[in-house]
Amino acid sequence: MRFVDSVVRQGMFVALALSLQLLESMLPMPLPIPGLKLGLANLVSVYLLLAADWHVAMRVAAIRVLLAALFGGTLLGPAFWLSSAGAFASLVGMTLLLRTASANITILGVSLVGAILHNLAQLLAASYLMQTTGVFSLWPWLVLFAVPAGFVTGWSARALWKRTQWMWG
Amino acid sequence: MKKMKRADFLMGAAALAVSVLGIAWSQASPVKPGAEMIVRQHNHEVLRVELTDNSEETWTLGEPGHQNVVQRKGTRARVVKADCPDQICVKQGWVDKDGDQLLCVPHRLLVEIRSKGAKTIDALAR
Repeated sequence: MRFVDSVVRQGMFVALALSLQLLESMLPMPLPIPGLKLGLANLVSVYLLLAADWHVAMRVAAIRVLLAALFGGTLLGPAFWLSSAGAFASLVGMTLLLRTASANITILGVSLVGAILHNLAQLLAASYLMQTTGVFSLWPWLVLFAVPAGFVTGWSARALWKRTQWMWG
Repeated sequence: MKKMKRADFLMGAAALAVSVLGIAWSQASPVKPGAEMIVRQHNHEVLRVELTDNSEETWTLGEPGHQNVVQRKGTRARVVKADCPDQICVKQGWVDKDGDQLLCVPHRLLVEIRSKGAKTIDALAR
Protein backbone atom coordinates (compact mmCIF):
# COMPACT_ATOMS: atom_id res chain seq x y z
CA MET A 1 0.00 0.00 0.00
CA ARG A 2 2.89 2.35 0.59
CA PHE A 3 3.70 2.39 -3.12
CA VAL A 4 0.10 3.10 -4.16
CA ASP A 5 -0.11 5.72 -1.47
CA SER A 6 2.93 7.59 -2.71
CA VAL A 7 1.86 7.36 -6.36
CA VAL A 8 -1.57 8.77 -5.54
CA ARG A 9 -0.07 11.52 -3.45
CA GLN A 10 2.47 12.55 -6.08
CA GLY A 11 -0.20 12.44 -8.80
CA MET A 12 -2.34 14.75 -6.72
CA PHE A 13 0.47 17.25 -6.29
CA VAL A 14 1.33 17.13 -10.00
CA ALA A 15 -2.32 17.93 -10.76
CA LEU A 16 -2.29 20.76 -8.22
CA ALA A 17 0.95 22.24 -9.54
CA LEU A 18 -0.29 22.02 -13.14
CA SER A 19 -3.52 23.79 -12.23
CA LEU A 20 -1.63 26.54 -10.45
CA GLN A 21 0.69 26.98 -13.42
CA LEU A 22 -2.28 27.16 -15.80
CA LEU A 23 -4.05 29.64 -13.52
CA GLU A 24 -0.96 31.78 -13.42
CA SER A 25 -0.64 31.80 -17.20
CA MET A 26 -4.17 33.18 -17.41
CA LEU A 27 -3.47 36.10 -15.09
CA PRO A 28 -2.78 39.39 -16.86
CA MET A 29 0.82 40.59 -16.72
CA PRO A 30 1.05 43.55 -14.36
CA LEU A 31 4.26 44.90 -15.90
CA PRO A 32 5.80 44.23 -19.31
CA ILE A 33 8.89 42.53 -17.90
CA PRO A 34 9.73 39.18 -19.52
CA GLY A 35 10.15 36.49 -16.88
CA LEU A 36 8.14 38.27 -14.22
CA LYS A 37 5.70 35.97 -12.47
CA LEU A 38 4.23 35.02 -9.14
CA GLY A 39 5.56 31.48 -9.17
CA LEU A 40 2.38 29.85 -7.95
CA ALA A 41 3.48 26.38 -9.05
CA ASN A 42 6.58 26.80 -6.91
CA LEU A 43 4.29 26.76 -3.88
CA VAL A 44 3.91 23.02 -4.44
CA SER A 45 7.67 22.52 -4.65
CA VAL A 46 8.31 24.44 -1.42
CA TYR A 47 5.47 22.63 0.32
CA LEU A 48 6.86 19.25 -0.74
CA LEU A 49 10.32 20.19 0.52
CA LEU A 50 8.72 20.72 3.93
CA ALA A 51 6.25 17.85 3.93
CA ALA A 52 8.04 15.16 1.93
CA ASP A 53 11.56 15.03 0.58
CA TRP A 54 13.61 16.74 -2.07
CA HIS A 55 13.30 13.88 -4.53
CA VAL A 56 9.52 13.95 -4.30
CA ALA A 57 9.55 17.71 -4.94
CA MET A 58 11.95 17.21 -7.85
CA ARG A 59 9.86 14.44 -9.41
CA VAL A 60 6.62 16.41 -9.11
CA ALA A 61 8.26 19.52 -10.57
CA ALA A 62 9.80 17.55 -13.45
CA ILE A 63 6.47 15.92 -14.36
CA ARG A 64 4.70 19.27 -14.02
CA VAL A 65 7.10 21.03 -16.40
CA LEU A 66 6.95 18.13 -18.85
CA LEU A 67 3.15 17.89 -18.86
CA ALA A 68 2.66 21.66 -19.06
CA ALA A 69 4.90 21.73 -22.14
CA LEU A 70 3.14 18.71 -23.62
CA PHE A 71 -0.31 20.27 -23.19
CA GLY A 72 0.89 23.66 -24.38
CA GLY A 73 2.67 22.23 -27.43
CA THR A 74 6.03 23.67 -26.39
CA LEU A 75 7.81 20.42 -25.59
CA LEU A 76 11.56 20.71 -26.24
CA GLY A 77 11.00 24.28 -27.43
CA PRO A 78 12.83 27.32 -25.99
CA ALA A 79 10.11 28.07 -23.43
CA PHE A 80 10.35 24.48 -22.19
CA TRP A 81 14.09 24.78 -21.56
CA LEU A 82 13.58 28.04 -19.75
CA SER A 83 11.01 26.64 -17.36
CA SER A 84 13.06 23.45 -16.84
CA ALA A 85 16.16 25.49 -16.02
CA GLY A 86 14.22 27.66 -13.58
CA ALA A 87 12.48 24.79 -11.80
CA PHE A 88 15.62 22.65 -11.58
CA ALA A 89 17.95 25.42 -10.37
CA SER A 90 15.56 26.66 -7.72
CA LEU A 91 14.89 23.17 -6.36
CA VAL A 92 18.56 22.23 -6.21
CA GLY A 93 19.38 25.52 -4.48
CA MET A 94 16.54 25.22 -1.98
CA THR A 95 17.42 21.61 -1.17
CA LEU A 96 21.07 22.44 -0.54
CA LEU A 97 20.14 25.42 1.60
CA LEU A 98 17.69 23.39 3.69
CA ARG A 99 20.29 20.69 4.23
CA THR A 100 23.16 22.95 5.17
CA ALA A 101 21.64 25.96 6.88
CA SER A 102 18.28 24.92 8.29
CA ALA A 103 19.48 25.86 11.78
CA ASN A 104 19.84 29.51 10.78
CA ILE A 105 17.20 29.92 8.17
CA THR A 106 13.48 29.26 7.80
CA ILE A 107 11.52 28.19 4.76
CA LEU A 108 10.91 31.89 4.03
CA GLY A 109 14.56 32.50 3.22
CA VAL A 110 14.82 29.18 1.40
CA SER A 111 11.89 30.09 -0.79
CA LEU A 112 13.38 33.52 -1.47
CA VAL A 113 16.64 31.95 -2.65
CA GLY A 114 14.59 29.56 -4.78
CA ALA A 115 12.77 32.46 -6.42
CA ILE A 116 15.99 34.34 -7.17
CA LEU A 117 17.71 31.21 -8.53
CA HIS A 118 14.68 30.55 -10.71
CA ASN A 119 15.05 34.00 -12.30
CA LEU A 120 18.79 33.69 -12.64
CA ALA A 121 18.64 30.28 -14.31
CA GLN A 122 15.97 31.50 -16.71
CA LEU A 123 18.06 34.53 -17.66
CA LEU A 124 21.12 32.32 -18.19
CA ALA A 125 19.09 29.95 -20.36
CA ALA A 126 17.55 32.85 -22.28
CA SER A 127 20.90 34.54 -22.86
CA TYR A 128 22.30 31.27 -24.16
CA LEU A 129 19.31 30.55 -26.41
CA MET A 130 19.13 34.07 -27.80
CA GLN A 131 22.90 34.67 -27.78
CA THR A 132 22.60 37.99 -25.97
CA THR A 133 23.66 39.29 -22.59
CA GLY A 134 21.15 42.13 -22.77
CA VAL A 135 18.53 40.09 -20.93
CA PHE A 136 20.49 40.45 -17.69
CA SER A 137 19.38 44.06 -17.49
CA LEU A 138 16.05 42.59 -16.40
CA TRP A 139 17.62 40.94 -13.37
CA PRO A 140 17.27 43.80 -10.83
CA TRP A 141 13.59 44.10 -11.68
CA LEU A 142 13.06 40.37 -11.35
CA VAL A 143 14.81 40.29 -7.96
CA LEU A 144 12.72 43.21 -6.75
CA PHE A 145 9.60 41.13 -7.28
CA ALA A 146 11.21 37.84 -6.27
CA VAL A 147 11.61 39.09 -2.69
CA PRO A 148 7.90 39.50 -1.89
CA ALA A 149 6.92 36.55 -4.13
CA GLY A 150 9.50 34.27 -2.47
CA PHE A 151 8.51 35.27 1.05
CA VAL A 152 4.78 34.88 0.37
CA THR A 153 5.35 31.46 -1.22
CA GLY A 154 7.44 30.30 1.74
CA TRP A 155 4.94 31.63 4.24
CA SER A 156 1.99 30.03 2.42
CA ALA A 157 3.77 26.70 2.08
CA ARG A 158 4.49 26.63 5.82
CA ALA A 159 0.91 27.59 6.70
CA LEU A 160 -0.42 24.85 4.42
CA TRP A 161 2.01 22.33 5.82
CA LYS A 162 0.99 23.08 9.43
CA ARG A 163 -2.64 22.46 8.55
CA THR A 164 -2.05 19.32 6.51
CA GLN A 165 0.49 17.48 8.64
CA TRP A 166 -2.12 14.82 9.42
CA MET A 167 -1.93 13.79 5.75
CA TRP A 168 1.67 12.74 6.09
CA GLY A 169 1.21 10.48 9.09
CA MET B 1 9.56 27.02 15.22
CA LYS B 2 10.43 30.66 14.80
CA LYS B 3 8.40 32.49 12.22
CA MET B 4 11.38 34.19 10.67
CA LYS B 5 15.05 34.15 11.50
CA ARG B 6 17.68 36.81 11.17
CA ALA B 7 19.23 35.19 8.08
CA ASP B 8 15.88 35.24 6.27
CA PHE B 9 15.55 38.93 6.93
CA LEU B 10 19.16 39.65 5.96
CA MET B 11 18.82 37.76 2.70
CA GLY B 12 15.64 39.61 1.82
CA ALA B 13 17.27 42.93 2.65
CA ALA B 14 20.41 42.06 0.68
CA ALA B 15 18.39 41.01 -2.35
CA LEU B 16 16.34 44.21 -2.21
CA ALA B 17 19.49 46.30 -1.84
CA VAL B 18 21.15 44.63 -4.85
CA SER B 19 17.99 45.08 -6.87
CA VAL B 20 17.50 48.75 -5.96
CA LEU B 21 21.18 49.49 -6.65
CA GLY B 22 20.92 47.74 -10.00
CA ILE B 23 17.83 49.68 -10.97
CA ALA B 24 19.32 52.97 -9.78
CA TRP B 25 22.49 52.28 -11.76
CA SER B 26 20.57 51.47 -14.93
CA GLN B 27 18.44 54.59 -14.50
CA ALA B 28 21.45 56.80 -13.83
CA SER B 29 23.55 55.67 -16.78
CA PRO B 30 23.24 58.00 -19.77
CA VAL B 31 20.56 57.06 -22.23
CA LYS B 32 21.57 57.05 -25.86
CA PRO B 33 18.85 57.27 -28.46
CA GLY B 34 18.58 54.31 -30.79
CA ALA B 35 19.89 54.64 -34.31
CA GLU B 36 19.08 51.26 -35.74
CA MET B 37 16.92 48.26 -35.13
CA ILE B 38 18.36 44.79 -35.50
CA VAL B 39 16.11 41.76 -35.64
CA ARG B 40 17.53 38.32 -35.09
CA GLN B 41 15.68 35.08 -35.54
CA HIS B 42 17.25 31.85 -34.34
CA ASN B 43 20.41 33.90 -33.81
CA HIS B 44 20.61 34.99 -37.44
CA GLU B 45 20.25 38.60 -38.34
CA VAL B 46 17.20 38.90 -40.58
CA LEU B 47 16.66 42.63 -40.54
CA ARG B 48 18.62 45.81 -39.91
CA VAL B 49 16.84 49.10 -40.30
CA GLU B 50 17.83 52.66 -39.51
CA LEU B 51 15.57 54.51 -37.14
CA THR B 52 15.48 57.87 -38.84
CA ASP B 53 12.48 59.54 -40.41
CA ASN B 54 8.86 59.53 -39.39
CA SER B 55 7.79 56.87 -41.83
CA GLU B 56 6.21 53.63 -40.82
CA GLU B 57 7.16 50.12 -41.83
CA THR B 58 5.86 46.69 -40.93
CA TRP B 59 7.45 43.29 -41.42
CA THR B 60 5.93 39.88 -41.05
CA LEU B 61 8.62 37.46 -39.93
CA GLY B 62 8.45 33.70 -39.82
CA GLU B 63 5.83 31.18 -40.86
CA PRO B 64 2.35 30.96 -39.32
CA GLY B 65 2.79 29.25 -35.98
CA HIS B 66 6.08 31.05 -35.45
CA GLN B 67 5.13 34.47 -36.66
CA ASN B 68 5.91 37.95 -35.38
CA VAL B 69 4.81 41.21 -36.91
CA VAL B 70 7.44 43.87 -36.22
CA GLN B 71 6.72 47.54 -36.73
CA ARG B 72 8.88 50.63 -36.96
CA LYS B 73 7.31 54.04 -36.58
CA GLY B 74 9.87 56.82 -36.78
CA THR B 75 12.50 56.05 -34.17
CA ARG B 76 10.46 53.54 -32.22
CA ALA B 77 9.92 49.84 -32.74
CA ARG B 78 7.51 47.27 -31.37
CA VAL B 79 6.11 43.82 -31.97
CA VAL B 80 2.55 44.33 -33.14
CA LYS B 81 1.45 40.72 -33.25
CA ALA B 82 2.83 37.32 -32.35
CA ASP B 83 1.14 33.97 -32.52
CA CYS B 84 2.83 32.66 -29.39
CA PRO B 85 0.89 31.87 -26.22
CA ASP B 86 2.51 34.31 -23.79
CA GLN B 87 2.48 37.52 -25.87
CA ILE B 88 5.30 38.96 -23.77
CA CYS B 89 6.99 40.66 -26.73
CA VAL B 90 3.73 42.37 -27.69
CA LYS B 91 3.06 43.56 -24.15
CA GLN B 92 6.55 45.05 -23.92
CA GLY B 93 5.30 47.80 -26.21
CA TRP B 94 7.52 50.39 -27.86
CA VAL B 95 11.30 50.56 -27.49
CA ASP B 96 13.59 53.31 -28.75
CA LYS B 97 16.74 53.51 -26.61
CA ASP B 98 20.21 52.03 -27.09
CA GLY B 99 20.25 48.53 -25.63
CA ASP B 100 16.48 48.11 -25.48
CA GLN B 101 15.33 44.63 -26.40
CA LEU B 102 12.10 42.96 -27.33
CA LEU B 103 12.19 39.28 -26.60
CA CYS B 104 10.07 36.48 -28.01
CA VAL B 105 11.56 33.35 -26.52
CA PRO B 106 9.14 30.79 -28.05
CA HIS B 107 10.08 31.98 -31.55
CA ARG B 108 13.65 32.86 -30.63
CA LEU B 109 13.15 36.34 -32.00
CA LEU B 110 15.11 39.29 -30.68
CA VAL B 111 14.53 42.92 -31.60
CA GLU B 112 17.41 45.06 -30.45
CA ILE B 113 17.85 48.81 -30.55
CA ARG B 114 21.37 50.09 -31.04
CA SER B 115 22.86 53.55 -31.03
CA LYS B 116 25.10 54.69 -33.84
CA GLY B 117 28.40 52.85 -34.00
CA ALA B 118 27.49 50.43 -31.24
CA LYS B 119 29.07 47.03 -31.57
CA THR B 120 26.68 44.21 -32.19
CA ILE B 121 27.10 40.67 -31.02
CA ASP B 122 28.01 39.63 -34.57
CA ALA B 123 30.67 42.32 -34.81
CA LEU B 124 32.11 41.17 -31.50
CA ALA B 125 32.16 37.55 -32.56
CA ARG B 126 34.14 38.27 -35.70
